[in-house]
Amino acid sequence: MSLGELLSSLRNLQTQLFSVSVQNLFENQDAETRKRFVAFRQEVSLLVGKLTNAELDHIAHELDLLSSDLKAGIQNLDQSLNELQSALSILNFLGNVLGLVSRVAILV
Amino acid sequence: MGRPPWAAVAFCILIIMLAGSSCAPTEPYINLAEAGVTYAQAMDKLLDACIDISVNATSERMLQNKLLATPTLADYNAQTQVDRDRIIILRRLQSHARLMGEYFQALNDLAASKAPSQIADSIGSIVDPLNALGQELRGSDLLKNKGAVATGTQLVVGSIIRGRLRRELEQRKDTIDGELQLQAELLKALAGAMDADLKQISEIQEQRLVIKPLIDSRAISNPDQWVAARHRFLTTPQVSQELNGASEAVSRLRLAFEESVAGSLNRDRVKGLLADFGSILEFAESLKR
Repeated sequence: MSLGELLSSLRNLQTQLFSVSVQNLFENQDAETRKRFVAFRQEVSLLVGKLTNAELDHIAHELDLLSSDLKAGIQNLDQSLNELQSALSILNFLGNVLGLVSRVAILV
Repeated sequence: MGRPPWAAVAFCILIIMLAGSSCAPTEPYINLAEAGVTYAQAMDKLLDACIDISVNATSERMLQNKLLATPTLADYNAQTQVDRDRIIILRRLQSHARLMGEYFQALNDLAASKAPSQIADSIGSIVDPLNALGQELRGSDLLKNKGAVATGTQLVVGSIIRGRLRRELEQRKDTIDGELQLQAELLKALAGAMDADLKQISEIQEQRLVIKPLIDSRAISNPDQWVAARHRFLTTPQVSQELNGASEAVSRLRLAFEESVAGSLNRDRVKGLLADFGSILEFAESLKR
C-alpha cells in the first residue's frame, strides 16, 4: 500500500469517525466510553495530520532542490534583458554622436 | 550587471550586420510564460486557502471532541503542533511557487520586450545623420532605404530574443520538467488533504449552524445568517475535482514546454492552458472567500 493509498483510507476513516451519526451515537454513551472514543479519534487525526505533513514536506524538499537552478534562469533572462537595454543606450548614444558629427561636417 | 559593455557593443554590431533577415514572433513564448505566471499565482492562493482550511478543520474536530469528553492541554498542544508544522511546510511551498512565478515573469519580460521596436527606432534615428554625413562626404546616402533598415532591425532583434529564449529553455528543460512534475504531484496531494478537510468542516458546520437551529423548537435568531450558511454548505466547491483537473493542466504545461524546446510549440494548446490556469486562479480565489 502506497503512502497515498494509506492516507486516503485513513482520511475516510477520520471522516466516518467525525460523521453526525457516529457523533450522535457516542453522545449517548457513558463518560468512560466517550473518553476512550475521543482518544482513539484524536490518534487517527494526529496520524492523518502527520502523514499529510510528511507527504507535503517530501514534495517541498524536492522542489527546494530545483530552486537554485530556477534562480540561475531568472538571472540569465534578466541579463539578456539588460543587454538589450544596454544595446539600446549605445544606439541612442551613437545616434547623438553621429548627429553632431554630421553637423560638424556640414560646417567644415 | 553581469557582462562587460563590449557584449552590448557586439550585440549592436550584430543587429546592424544582420538587418534584413527574417524571424518568427515571440508570441507563443509570451503565452507560455503568461500561463506559468497565472499558474504560480493560483498555486500561491491555493496554498493560502489550504492553510485556512487545514487550521479550521482541526478547530472543528476539537469542538466535536469537546462535546464528548473534556480535552487536556496535552491534547490541544499535540493537534496544534501538527497545524504549526503544516503551516511551515505550506509557506515553504508558497515561497517556491513565488520563485517559479518570478522565473515565468522573467521569461515573459524578455519575450514581451519592446526592445525590437525601440532598437529599430534608434537605428532609424542613426540613418538620418549617417546619410547627411554621406551626402557631405561623397554626395550620396550611405543607407538608401531607411524604412527597410528599421524593419530589418526589428526582425533581427526579435530573432535574437527568440534564440535566447530557446537557449534558456533548453538549458533549463530538466529543471522545468522536474518542477512541473512535482507541481502536478503537489496538486494531487493538496486535493486529498483539502477535500477531506472541507468535507468535514462542511458536515460539522451544517449540523451546528443549519440543522440544529432548524429542528430546535426555538425560533432561529438570525434567519438571514441561517439562509447564507445553508447556501454556503450546499455550494461548497468540489476541491478534489478542480485540483485533479489542475494537475492535468500542469501535465499539459509540461508538454507545451517540451514543444517549445523542440521549436514546435502549439499555439492553441498554450492558449487553452492560459484559460485553464485562469479558471484555477478563480477557483483558488473562491476558496479564500
